[in-house]
Amino acid sequence: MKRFALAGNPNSGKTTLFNSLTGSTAHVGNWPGVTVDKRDGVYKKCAEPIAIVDLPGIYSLSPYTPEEVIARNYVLDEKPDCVINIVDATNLERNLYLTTQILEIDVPMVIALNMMDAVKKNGDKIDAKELEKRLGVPVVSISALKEQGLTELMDKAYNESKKQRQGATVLQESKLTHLISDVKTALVGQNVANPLFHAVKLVEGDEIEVNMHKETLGVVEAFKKTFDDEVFGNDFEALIADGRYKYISKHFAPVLKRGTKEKFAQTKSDKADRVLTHKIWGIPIFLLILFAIFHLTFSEDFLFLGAIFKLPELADIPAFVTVADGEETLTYGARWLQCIYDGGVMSPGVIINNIWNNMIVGELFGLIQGAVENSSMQPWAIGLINNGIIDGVGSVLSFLPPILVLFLFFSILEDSGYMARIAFILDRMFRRFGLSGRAFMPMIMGFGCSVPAMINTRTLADDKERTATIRVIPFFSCGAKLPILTAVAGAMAGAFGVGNADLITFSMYVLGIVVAILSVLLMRSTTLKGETPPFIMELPTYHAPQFKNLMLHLWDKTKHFVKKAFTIILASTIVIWVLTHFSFSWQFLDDEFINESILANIAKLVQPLFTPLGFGRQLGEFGWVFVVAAVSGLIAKENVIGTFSTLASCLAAGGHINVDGLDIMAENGIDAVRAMIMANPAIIGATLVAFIAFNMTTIPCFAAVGTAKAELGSKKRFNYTLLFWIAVSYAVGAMIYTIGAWLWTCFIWAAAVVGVITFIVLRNKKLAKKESTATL
Amino acid sequence: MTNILLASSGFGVGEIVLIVACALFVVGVAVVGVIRKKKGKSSCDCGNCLHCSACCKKTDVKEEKEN
Amino acid sequence: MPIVIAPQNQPLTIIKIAADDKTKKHLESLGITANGDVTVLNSSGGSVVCKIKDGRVALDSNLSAKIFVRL
Repeated sequence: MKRFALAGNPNSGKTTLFNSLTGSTAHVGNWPGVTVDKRDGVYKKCAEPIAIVDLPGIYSLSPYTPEEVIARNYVLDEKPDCVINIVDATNLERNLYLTTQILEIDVPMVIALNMMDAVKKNGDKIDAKELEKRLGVPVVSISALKEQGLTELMDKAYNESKKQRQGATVLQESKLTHLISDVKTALVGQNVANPLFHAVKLVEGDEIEVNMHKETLGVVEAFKKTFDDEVFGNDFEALIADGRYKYISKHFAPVLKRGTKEKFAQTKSDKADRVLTHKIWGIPIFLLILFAIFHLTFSEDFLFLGAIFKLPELADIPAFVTVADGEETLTYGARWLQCIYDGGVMSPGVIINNIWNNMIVGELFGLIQGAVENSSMQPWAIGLINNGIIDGVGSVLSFLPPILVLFLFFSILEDSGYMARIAFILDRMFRRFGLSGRAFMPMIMGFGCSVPAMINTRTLADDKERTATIRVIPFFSCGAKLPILTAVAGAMAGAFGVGNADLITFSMYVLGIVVAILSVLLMRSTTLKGETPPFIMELPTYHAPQFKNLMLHLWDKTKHFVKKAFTIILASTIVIWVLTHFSFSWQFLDDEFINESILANIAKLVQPLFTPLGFGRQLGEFGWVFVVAAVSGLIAKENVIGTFSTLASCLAAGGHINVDGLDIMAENGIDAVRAMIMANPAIIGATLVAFIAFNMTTIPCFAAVGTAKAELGSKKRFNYTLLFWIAVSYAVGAMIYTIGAWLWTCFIWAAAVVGVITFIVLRNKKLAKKESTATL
Repeated sequence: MTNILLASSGFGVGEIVLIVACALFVVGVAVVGVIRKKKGKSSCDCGNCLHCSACCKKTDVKEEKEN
Repeated sequence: MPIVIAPQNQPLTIIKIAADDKTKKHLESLGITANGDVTVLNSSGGSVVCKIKDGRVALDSNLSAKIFVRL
């Protein structure tokens, strides 16, 4: 099967084109570095099926970054039948820099001039035919987004693939033209493929070339000795780069006719950036946007209207109350209203959540549970199904709305281009502490899932920075940890009347970020010291995210989430149910005797360890549930709440706790946590916060751990990483609980922190002194 | 194991189906998980695959070897 | 003058880039070369957002101190 490769700058629309051609759903982000590996697909609308390879986005074919090496080697060694070079028409000259390099390779080539619609919108015009004439290869205008011009592109590419093409260079008017030509002749004599490309790279002094063609290098070196240029000295590489841009500027740029004569006009995007990257207001704006996201997703008092105007709750309005089963409940109509309003207006995220859980899923599962309960099945079977399976899996499923809504917002942030600005702002702030903005991008990806975030750290050149980043990525609460946050925060708000759930959730996310930053600072000043790499990032133009794209992402995520719920989580809840309903001698136990089960006994052994964190010995009888929940999180973080729900419902069935007015499965597991709070009088607000903090910072799920191990490479680093996670989660949890329970302990902690900092500073001073005396 | 059968009186069809289904299911999930790990096909399982490099890389590497 | 103190919204020409090879190469591929044109859009706290041809590139404070330009 013929193979075509897609090559182009990051953000040029390459991956969008790939999706349109192959129909798959690879991710499209709006900041450089998302596509770190190549992707395969098949285009079926030509005379024969064609394999399409999406190469990583690159700016040039030098060997300085892994993406460039991958792309370069693919074209040189794998010999694709045609290279489709995607050029972002709104950034013509820069994009053509790569083009001139690909042109030097003996491979058939077609230019896809993308985003032509944006060019038109700017009032500019590009003469594609003229460009084609000047470049010597076919140029097809396309809009990858609108899927226009694609058939023509593929047809032209297919035609080109049938012919051979000789590499051509734009360095015709350079001082090095003769040298290049001589080297090329030498390489041709050695039967080297793609002699022109290798010749140019060799003259540049490219690392890979120098190693491959040591003999011919002599020719270059000799010439270098006698050469001197006023601007570039004998830096051939810079000379060649300059040569390329000069040629592009002179011969290719003129095909672009600008609408506005003013060369230095500020685009709308620039104007937005003046505010969003403002020296002083940049960070507050970012935090505000972050808070707005949480407010829109979790708030039950949208815009705080309820609090401001002291709006009444539905239960206080007689018209909405009715009596059923001797109890006062809301009328059916009122329950629908409750999805939107109850003492406060519900935010969009909550509205969706309420309708999904209270009206649809809740009713459905409630019916099933009722039917099972009234069936003639044995009590234990009823227990397994209703308490174990339905309550466990049901509570995890109940999180689908908030997870999707949050994911939607973060996708919008990413696709719009704002993420790159965030990295820039954070770099400015944290550079002096040894953190580079480039590292923040994988971290922010961690808000979705740690696994792709860790993989994305490959774009970080510095090894030590990479390790530090990988270690703190789990602190950016991933989607799976969201249930823990929502359920516990909601329970706190309900049981202790402490503030709004969205505020608590927001602060826990911020806590994760703070712990991450502090950890990196600590690591960079001790075991992982090193230079802070420079921050160079392209800021793509802001643009509204594509609706279709977003919906595709959401659907993808929904599928994976549901699949995960009905496989791993379901299996886990069954196993936990079994282990909590059998004693060591394999005798079946009713819910009443759950404390004597296998799992309870094992957990009770470990329970005291967590005393400084608030959920150890002080919780007495049922504290082991917390331990089991946390440990089950190793399989999948969603399990933490799933386990809570299963066990809470068993405890309720066993009469250990009174769950009047609570519906364990509904309300996003909040009621399950509330039930546990009721079963454990020793729980205070600080316990719950410590529990959240512990789960947020401890060893992540097996999938993330596996990824970390693979990405870190060295077993030693990996082991230290595990230790690191355990240590941080324990310390943070303990700090929160002890200070929360006994405020005066904060002085002890403060003293300890000061002690550690002093130790580090002194140690660094000593090491620096040692180094300077060694070099003297 | 006989303790279980003695402890609870009477097993209807529903109960037996339930036990067998659960057992098979749990074993199935575990086995599939181990197989996928051996194959190198890392299941991101993070509910947020995005066809990310994690899942795709391994298949790319395999294809390269086959090529 | 180093680009970090250059005036905003005015056409500038790059004289010299005093960075290591790897960084220089990266900058080049983005269009930032000696003899090239650049305009500073935003320079706050040392870091700089500049306009190169039609693109926008952000640079940190250390780096912006190593890129020298003239009006």
